[in-house]
Amino acid sequence: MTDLQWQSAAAIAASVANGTITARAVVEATLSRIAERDGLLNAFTDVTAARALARADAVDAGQVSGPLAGVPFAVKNLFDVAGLPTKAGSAINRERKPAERDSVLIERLERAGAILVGALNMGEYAYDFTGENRHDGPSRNPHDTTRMTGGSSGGSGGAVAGGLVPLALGSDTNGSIRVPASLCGLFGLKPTFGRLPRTGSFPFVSSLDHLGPLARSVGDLALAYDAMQGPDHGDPGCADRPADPVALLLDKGLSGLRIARAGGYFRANQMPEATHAVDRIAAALNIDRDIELPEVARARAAAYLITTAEGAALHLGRQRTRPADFDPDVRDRLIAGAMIPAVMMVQAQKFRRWYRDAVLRLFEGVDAIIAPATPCSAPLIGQKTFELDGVELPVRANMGIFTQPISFIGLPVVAVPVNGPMPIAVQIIAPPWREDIALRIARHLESTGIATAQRPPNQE
Amino acid sequence: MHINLPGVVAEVTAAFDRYETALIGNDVAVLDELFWDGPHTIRYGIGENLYGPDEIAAFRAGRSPVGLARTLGRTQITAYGHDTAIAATLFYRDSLPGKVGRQMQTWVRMPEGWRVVAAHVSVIDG
Amino acid sequence: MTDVTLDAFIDASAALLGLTIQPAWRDPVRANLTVSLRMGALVMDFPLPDDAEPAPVFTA
Repeated sequence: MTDLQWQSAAAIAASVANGTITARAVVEATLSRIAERDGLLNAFTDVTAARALARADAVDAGQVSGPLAGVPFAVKNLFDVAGLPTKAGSAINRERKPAERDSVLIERLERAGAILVGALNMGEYAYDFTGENRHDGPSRNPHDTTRMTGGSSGGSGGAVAGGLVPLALGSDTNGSIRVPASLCGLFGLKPTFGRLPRTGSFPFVSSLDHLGPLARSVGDLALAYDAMQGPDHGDPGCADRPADPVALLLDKGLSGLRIARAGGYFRANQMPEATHAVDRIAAALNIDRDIELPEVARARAAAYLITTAEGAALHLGRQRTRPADFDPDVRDRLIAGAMIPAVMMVQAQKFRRWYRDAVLRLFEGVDAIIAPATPCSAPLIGQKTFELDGVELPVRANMGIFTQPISFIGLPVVAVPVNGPMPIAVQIIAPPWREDIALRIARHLESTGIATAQRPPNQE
Repeated sequence: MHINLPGVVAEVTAAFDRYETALIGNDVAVLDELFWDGPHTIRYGIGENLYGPDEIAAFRAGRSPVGLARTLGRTQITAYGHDTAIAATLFYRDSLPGKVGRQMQTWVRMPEGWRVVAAHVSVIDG
Repeated sequence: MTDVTLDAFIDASAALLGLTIQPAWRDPVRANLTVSLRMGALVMDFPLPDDAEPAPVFTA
């Protein structure tokens, strides 16, 4: 039997359900692994041990059951956790009153029997692609602890890739689930915009924020996703759609699916490992054509503008009174963001509708598109620049060039990890509300061994 | 003012540990590196008061490498905000039976990294 | 836009918004604004018809 720390959520749930192991034993082992390894990985900012043990006992007493019963999970620290101030990766938020209620997605996972064990490190206020944090220290990539996890859901990537928990929640505005999934070699799901309610989480850009899971298997992504789906009026951005469960749709294989590789913009500005990963996936899927999305650079620019302007508005009060308490990199972007002429914002949102319509027209002829998730595998912690196509560019600003134009129009994406000296992921992009297509393709790639969440080198 | 931001404490602890290793092994280069190279740096040692990097470096250069081993106790590192920390520790040496040493350092984040800007080492009855 | 003009814009905007910019922050703020304005120019450059609707539509 696989060591408990590397078991999938599905396997753990099965073992707890058939009495092979108690939920308490699972949680105790989890807490002990965290105590032993998180000093180095620095994925966790809070460990909710007492709460987790109490929930475990409730599961063992039969008071709580469900498809995730006994499965430990953790959440990026912008999710409300009852009793903790919602840090959102900042120093300032530490002073907030403790949250009175868990975020809706935590409530839904726990209703399915999963057990929250803590909150995870993140880039400050989510305006980050590195997973480094001035106040809590950097989250370290379990595959090479001198390297970044990526962000902003850095601790989510580190905790799952490091075998601390099988499942973590993150957020993704311009790439913050897909980037750490890529750099840490995990499966990540950014659902359709408006699919999962954001109720009870600290925002970044309401126009663009998504929440979603990271895991080491497609099955675990689907289990978590199905448990979390459903409308919630607490989030005006959450669509009033009933849940579309995907669990039974995963193994339908590829037949009937038209899949293309994103060309043009998505083939440039990357290191060889990014191109190579996409080409391996394309070969495994028998892809024989490229598809060009129109105006991608402009879409990325529009997303960039909306992000900086809405972020600046959200934080203006804090910027006025205590700018020195921010991460300087975040602060300097937020100050600049407050100065964008309004006409640019208006135009960006109008362009967004144009771009969305143009891309959805493309999806009339294709069911899924593949593209790189990141331009490279994990840079070193603290690395400021990298070389893309022979040009030296800043890491922070460019890590999201392939994720940003996709989340801009809320398309569902599964990031699938491709093995290598360091892992790197590929985006499987589907039309709105068709997470099932992306997950189905991901499952096929996983079952053929092309896309797997590799274990860190000293953990074989 | 945020006290003991975890990331800051971790950085200072790493610098403190590096200093301790250098001290016990008399790695003069590292000891010189970790004290701030500015005119206001002060080190009150057990038997001497040193002002500025030159006096401190001279002391390091002239110190016997023998008998520097020590055990630390009740080490407390407190970070105030992002750029300042106090590292306080007790220490015990075989050559000082019945005595307890105290080392207090003020660390500041400089562009070059964390540096000691003031230190005080003394011994009392244990 | 020259650095001097942009700096004047930054100072005026900061005053209007109630933001204090420390001297050490000026360079990175200017650099970030330069990037954002470049992105803005790219977006403004795209011709859209008068009846182009914004992506988010309000419902009463």
